Amino acid sequence: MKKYSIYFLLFLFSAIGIYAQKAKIDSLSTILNTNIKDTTKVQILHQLALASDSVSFSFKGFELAKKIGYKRGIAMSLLDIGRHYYFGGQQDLALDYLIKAIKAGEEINNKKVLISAYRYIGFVYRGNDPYTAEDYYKKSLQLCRETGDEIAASYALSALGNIYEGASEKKDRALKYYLESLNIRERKGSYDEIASSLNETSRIYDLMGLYNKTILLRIRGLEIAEKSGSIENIVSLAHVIGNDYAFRLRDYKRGLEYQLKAYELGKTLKNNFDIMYSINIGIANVYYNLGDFKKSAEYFKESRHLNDSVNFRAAKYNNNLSQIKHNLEEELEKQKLLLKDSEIEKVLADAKRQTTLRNAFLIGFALVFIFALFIFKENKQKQKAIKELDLRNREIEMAYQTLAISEGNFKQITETINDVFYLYNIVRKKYEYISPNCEKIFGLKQDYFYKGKSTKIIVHKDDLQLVVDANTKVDSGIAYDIEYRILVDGKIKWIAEKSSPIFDKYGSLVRNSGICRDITLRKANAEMIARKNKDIMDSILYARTIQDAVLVPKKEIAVKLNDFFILSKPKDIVSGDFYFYKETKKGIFLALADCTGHGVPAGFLSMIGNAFLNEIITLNENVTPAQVLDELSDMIIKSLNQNRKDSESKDGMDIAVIYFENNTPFIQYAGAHNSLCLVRNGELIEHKADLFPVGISETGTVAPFKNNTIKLEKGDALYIFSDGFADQFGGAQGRKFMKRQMRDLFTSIYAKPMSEQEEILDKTFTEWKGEFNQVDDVLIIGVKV
Amino acid sequence: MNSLIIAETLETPGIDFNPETGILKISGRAYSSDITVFYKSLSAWLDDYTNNPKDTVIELYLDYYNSVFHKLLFNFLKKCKTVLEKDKTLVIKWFYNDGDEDSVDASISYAKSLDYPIEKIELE
Repeated sequence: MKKYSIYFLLFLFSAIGIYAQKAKIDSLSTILNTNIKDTTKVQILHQLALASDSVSFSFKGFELAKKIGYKRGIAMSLLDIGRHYYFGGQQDLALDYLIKAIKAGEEINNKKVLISAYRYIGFVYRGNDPYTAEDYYKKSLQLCRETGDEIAASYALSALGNIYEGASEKKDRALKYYLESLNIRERKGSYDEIASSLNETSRIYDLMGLYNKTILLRIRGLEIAEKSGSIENIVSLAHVIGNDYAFRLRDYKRGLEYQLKAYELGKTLKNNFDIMYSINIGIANVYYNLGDFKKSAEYFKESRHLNDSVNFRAAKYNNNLSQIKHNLEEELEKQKLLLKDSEIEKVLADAKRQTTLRNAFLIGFALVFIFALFIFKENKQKQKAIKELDLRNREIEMAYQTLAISEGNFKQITETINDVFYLYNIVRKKYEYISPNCEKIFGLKQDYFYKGKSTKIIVHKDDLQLVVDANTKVDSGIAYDIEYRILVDGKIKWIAEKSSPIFDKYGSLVRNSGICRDITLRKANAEMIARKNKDIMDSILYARTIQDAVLVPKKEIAVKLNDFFILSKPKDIVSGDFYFYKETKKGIFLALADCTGHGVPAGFLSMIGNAFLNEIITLNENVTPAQVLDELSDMIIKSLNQNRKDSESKDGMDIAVIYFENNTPFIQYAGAHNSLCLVRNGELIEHKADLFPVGISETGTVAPFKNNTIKLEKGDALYIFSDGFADQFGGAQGRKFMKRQMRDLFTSIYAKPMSEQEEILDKTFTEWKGEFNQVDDVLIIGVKV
Repeated sequence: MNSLIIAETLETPGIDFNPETGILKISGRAYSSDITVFYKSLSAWLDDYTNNPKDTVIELYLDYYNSVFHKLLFNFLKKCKTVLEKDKTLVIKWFYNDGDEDSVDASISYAKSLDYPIEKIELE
């Protein structure tokens, strides 16, 4: 928006304006010389002070008012002097006179003077001390309310809005003040006042991203400009509205309408270089977006012409202006010296110097006009040469244009994504760009970063070293990717920042670019997941302790079986494989079962299996292993409702059951899929299991299990096992271990003590598995006779 | 109708069912405990195929399968047997790695449960 306010200013100082003012000054000066009352003269001098740029009228007014003891005149003149110094940029002097004006105003209780003086003191403080400025604006507003001067109140309201407009978090407060001011002015204000209010209110809507409202207000501003007949304002507003439609709302057609209106009217204006340059660029962009590249290029070309002439003119004008400025400064220096040592009256008496000052102004303006004319003529010749040059440069221009648009797109991307994007110049230790949402994420404004400061002050102290190290790293050309905490408004936020170094074409490090993302939510979620995971893990671990508790401890088994091992390697924590041991009066039942699946579901099944086996043997100690399996199968089918036709449950188990009868060399064995291996004198004998499981089988029929009676000899080694070991993929080729290799292993180790065999089996399995995942639960039981 | 081709994954075996040649191939390893969706796609294809079946050969190259897949395979083979037996020929070929007795045992178990011959072919 700044760019557009410059146009407004330019128009304000355009030739027409100056002439009109001059006419007013002339006619007032004429009246001054007629025979009127001194108080009237003071009033006229006040009017002259308002209309001219010279401080001399105010001093004259002050002198006269003081002479005749006209207190209201004194207060008014002091206010005028303060106002002039304020506009002249001499803040200290302005403050002095404004305070004097307040004293004078208070003496005669002239609220009108006080209202203005307070407001102007606010203006003086506005730049460096907005809080004090706010106080003065509010004082001014208070008095307006007391006196019911609504128009003056609107000025105070606008000034207050202006303070909040600068404070990023308080845009809605600014809006409130601006709207209040607008409301007053729409009822009572002049066209200029309404236009000014519409302008500031639309500006705040734009900042808040409420583009539809922005446009609405600007269109109202345009209507007022049309009513008041100010072509300059019509042109610049139509242009701004055109830009709004095109680049804020992407309504290129509507945008084009307004731009063309601005273009047509703009052509009729004098001194239209700047605005026409901007309008041409706007139209070129709109045509580009509408896909009419030919027209886009035409307007773009015209803008280049204007740009060249503007630059040329500006250079001359600047030269000229600096000369005038130099003269004026000398003059002012002299004035200042006098002011410092002497009384104001003495300055006022020095009328000659005042005249010199005024003359300097007049000469200055005259010079500007002469140069402007001169430049205009020279321009015409230059334009011819430029035209030829331009044809050759056409391609380059199009490239520039594309670049400008892609830059625009880039800016739009960085300004709409949630991440903060930045470009940091390592050499100059300054941010070259940081996206505006840095305020949202870091709570720090863009300006803060542009001033050369970094986020370090808000980084959590425990992470500061990490950030400092990362910065050192990127300064030496190494990218970083870190996560750290910051404190914004007393709350901890998590930031993920990635940054990479950028080298110039000579390979030296100049910048780094990075992206910062607010990952507070992700961190919180991760924490929650970790917590839930822990809960689940805890309950699984506890399930394991229950599972272990129902198993007969190995110590107890060792009382009867003197040399044995039980090697258990669950795939997950809870196992689907389990062993069973029960002593009866006549012997021992030893079983090994492998339930469908693995993990927690298989673990459930194992608990049921364990309980059923206990129940079966407790009820009838004389039962054979085959009968145990028949009954177990029956109980599982019934308890899991597997006999129902619609049953989904096909769960069951593979199992081997051995019965050792006390004081006999005989054992009995029955198996569902799980065979029994017996190694005797280095030879392995396999007693094959039945090829159906415990539980419902695929065919749905239930066959009785086969009971085997085996005579043992001293030194025999017995092995029963689940299929997890043989099915394990691994080794050099990633193949299954397979039963044959297992049998070979049993044969080669059978003579060793069982504890040693356990170790060998464990080691063999772990080595075979290597980097492969474990396929299933592993359980092996070995018993030496 | 189209062939059913499902690439082998870490959890499920590869499928290559060709309605023109009548060769239905299943190969790889089956670890997944939740293969309901996987089975549905096989079953749906088979329903379609049996409208216009060919003389069919089922080739099984299964390195490892868990008990869940064991049941799936049984149901699939049973369905094939039921719908194809009447007017088309059905051959089931069971390929196994050299020395994999468990695999041989499994094929015997399947043949018995299905009450249908399974041809055992040793690889390598």
